[in-house]
Amino acid sequence: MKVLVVHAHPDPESFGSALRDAVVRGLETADHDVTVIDLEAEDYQPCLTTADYDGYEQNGDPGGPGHPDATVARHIEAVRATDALVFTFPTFWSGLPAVLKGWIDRTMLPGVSFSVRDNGSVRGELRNVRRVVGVTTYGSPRGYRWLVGDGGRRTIRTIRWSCGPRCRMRWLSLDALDGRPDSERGAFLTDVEHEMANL
Amino acid sequence: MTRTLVVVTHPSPEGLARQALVRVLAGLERRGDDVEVIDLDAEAFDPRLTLDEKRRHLDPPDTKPWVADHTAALQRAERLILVYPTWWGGFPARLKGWFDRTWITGVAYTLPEGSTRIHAGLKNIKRLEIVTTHGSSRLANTLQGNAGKLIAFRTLRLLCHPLCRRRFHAFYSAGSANPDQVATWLDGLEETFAR
Repeated sequence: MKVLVVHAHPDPESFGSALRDAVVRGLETADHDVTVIDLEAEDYQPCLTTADYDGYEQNGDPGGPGHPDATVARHIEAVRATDALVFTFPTFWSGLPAVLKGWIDRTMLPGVSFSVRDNGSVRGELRNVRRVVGVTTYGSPRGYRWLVGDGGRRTIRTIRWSCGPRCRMRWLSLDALDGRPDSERGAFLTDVEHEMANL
Repeated sequence: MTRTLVVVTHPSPEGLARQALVRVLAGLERRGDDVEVIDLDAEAFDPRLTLDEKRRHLDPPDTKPWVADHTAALQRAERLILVYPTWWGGFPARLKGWFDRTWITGVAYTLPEGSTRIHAGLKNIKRLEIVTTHGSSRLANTLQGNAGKLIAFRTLRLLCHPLCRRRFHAFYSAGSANPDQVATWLDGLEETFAR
């Protein structure tokens, strides 16, 4: 399978970045064809520009001239070509880091991930994507998430709903990260690598 | 006189959220609120948490002077109104990053020594309100789970006053709405905020 890994973490030496490496190791063990988009390393600009907004309906059109921003155009090509999407990120305030939320806002355009029919109904266009995986860490304990919910997971699930009916979503997460000993962190890395090898 | 902080983001001057902002401000002026506006796009606010901010996220606010204007505004406010378009069920990156970067330790919350639970730091905020526009229908947004509303009204609400009230002013199906429907919503918005 072709797998696109979208990684968002400001710290290249963090546990979150070790998670990305575990994902890639697992995928390569299983001979998947892996592409990584490391948003911070690319210095990715996550805000819709005025030009993005004005061209919102056309920029993702498969028959059109393509997205005017070369970085976004490259990301759109990667999304169109992939069989699986894997997101690795830390959870900030129960949601995605801004840089990842903005990647979704700018890349997942009409004509790329969805289309709107004349009667107003929305159709998912990520028919090529058979797996959506979220790999994240939470600073807070599990009970807190039970109390306040998980906005990041809901956002990734929205991506899943743009895929075909047979697409499967996996959610791999570790909570209460700050209090975890290295042994438990290491065990989670091993789990993630194993899961990715059996995607 | 209620001290009200309005935080707005939309990339285009013609965006419906910007039209909503004008009417919200008109309503608040009629009501006599003491209003402060943070326009994240006008400030070209960079929403990406930096490496330094991540590594020092538990350091006190006085070591992060670059967000001091925003944290001071947060600490003054009795009422916080967020105005934004809903994209993929949630906040635009610019607004999500504003929470990530300015709702910091020592302002939005404290983490007492030995505690695993954060304690609310913005008890001055007694009203938390959202004004937002959706391209898709109410049903589609309900199915998607309203991640933005959830984050604001649960996670961020817990950092405000324990009795903080929540109000959600939403417009749905903006893509297929006719001008009369938009005008009716905007008129209602101004009346609501004038009360």
